[in-house]
Amino acid sequence: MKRLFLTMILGFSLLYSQEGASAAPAPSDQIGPLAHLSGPEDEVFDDGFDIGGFEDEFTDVAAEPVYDPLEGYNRWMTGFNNTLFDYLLDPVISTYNFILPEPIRVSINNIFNNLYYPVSLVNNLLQLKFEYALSETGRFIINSTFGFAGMFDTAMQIGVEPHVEDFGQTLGHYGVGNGMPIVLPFFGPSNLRDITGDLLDFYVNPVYYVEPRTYNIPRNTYEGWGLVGAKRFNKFSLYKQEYLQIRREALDFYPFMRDAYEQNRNKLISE
Amino acid sequence: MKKLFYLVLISLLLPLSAAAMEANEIGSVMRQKVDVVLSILNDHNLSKTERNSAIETEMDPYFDFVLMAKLSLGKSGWQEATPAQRKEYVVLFERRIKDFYMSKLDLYKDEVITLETPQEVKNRIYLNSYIVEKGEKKEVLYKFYHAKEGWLIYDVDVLGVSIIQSYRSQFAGELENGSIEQLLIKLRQPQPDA
Repeated sequence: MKRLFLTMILGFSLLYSQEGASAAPAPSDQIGPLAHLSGPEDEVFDDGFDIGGFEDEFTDVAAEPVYDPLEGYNRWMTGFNNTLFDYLLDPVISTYNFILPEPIRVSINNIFNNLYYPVSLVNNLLQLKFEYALSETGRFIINSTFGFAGMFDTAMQIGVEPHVEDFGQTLGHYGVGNGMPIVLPFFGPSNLRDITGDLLDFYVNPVYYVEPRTYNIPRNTYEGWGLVGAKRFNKFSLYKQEYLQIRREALDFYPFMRDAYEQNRNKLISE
Repeated sequence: MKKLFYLVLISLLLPLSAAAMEANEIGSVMRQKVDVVLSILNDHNLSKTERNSAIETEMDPYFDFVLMAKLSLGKSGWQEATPAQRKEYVVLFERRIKDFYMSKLDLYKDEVITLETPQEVKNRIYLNSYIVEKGEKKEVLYKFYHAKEGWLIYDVDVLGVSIIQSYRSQFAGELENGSIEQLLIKLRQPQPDA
């Protein structure tokens, strides 16, 4: 009797689980979400947005439109940058990527990041983040020595994480708002606060104050921007595929990018 | 006899509750799921379609796509839509968000994914995960809420960028300039193959 029951239980549960499993793989069922609705269909699609508490978590764009007085220009510049990418940058990056394999470009990026240390230090100190300032210093020392002049992020491998801060973040930390979004030629999305920050960062970098000598780079402001450009170019070469995918998939690329930029910056500022 | 009856009942219910998670299970279940997904990704015998549908089957039960769709459209958009439009929108949205997720998987190359301990934030649970890729640490945050069926994901933050919020700002622009029908027209267009 007992055994019979056990067999029945086993049989039932097998039957059940098979049913559950076979319901999923049918391709037509997979496409629609209707296979896993939490309630009767009518209830789900007839409700007047009954989701208590969730709306507060997200910005209501309809109620508070984004302050974007330059939207016309920004959209145009986004288009310009995209065209620039397709006809100029993409072929150049493809060649660059062909010559330099990814690990080398990662190393170049690491070197640039390592050289950013003075700026990061100043900004950590300005925000009174002494612990981060200390760990950034540790990272600089470790990576400059054991990391072969910053080529390898040895510090991260042993668990000393980066806490990179820029002037835009410092300004944000002290309550300066984002300001209007501005899309820059070549450099892409930014905003008023971060552009100001980028300029300030540039003047914080001690390299800028070193007496100009023929072998110094940068010797002047143009070369300085050239370096910033080279850094961005190299980094972009690492993320070309990601950029292309997002651009292809976005319903409307400009607001997507503008929003993603602001969200990412806000997160960096809050850390 | 009564006991046995209960046993039968419980055994019938077990497969049903397999997908739902309790709060304390989120960490372990997600770790297990991530590992399964990674093993699918590493199985190079599978075609891309097979791979994607296998991952879909694994991950589907943990996402609340209907809620994600609603949140992305926003209250006024949802209220403006007719039930038929809502239904079509939800179907199209789910397809889109999945395609978005799947195309990111194409870029995966043997990186290690670390999951942190889930954190309770008000009445939600946040599960932070990170992946070291191209020498940089990338954060991906899964946000769970307590649904009828158990804990389900309602939003994912990638580098601090909320997927729901990103769709919201795009959809809001679309709704401002046109109607829900125009948004549907755009969503109906097939996704370019990434």
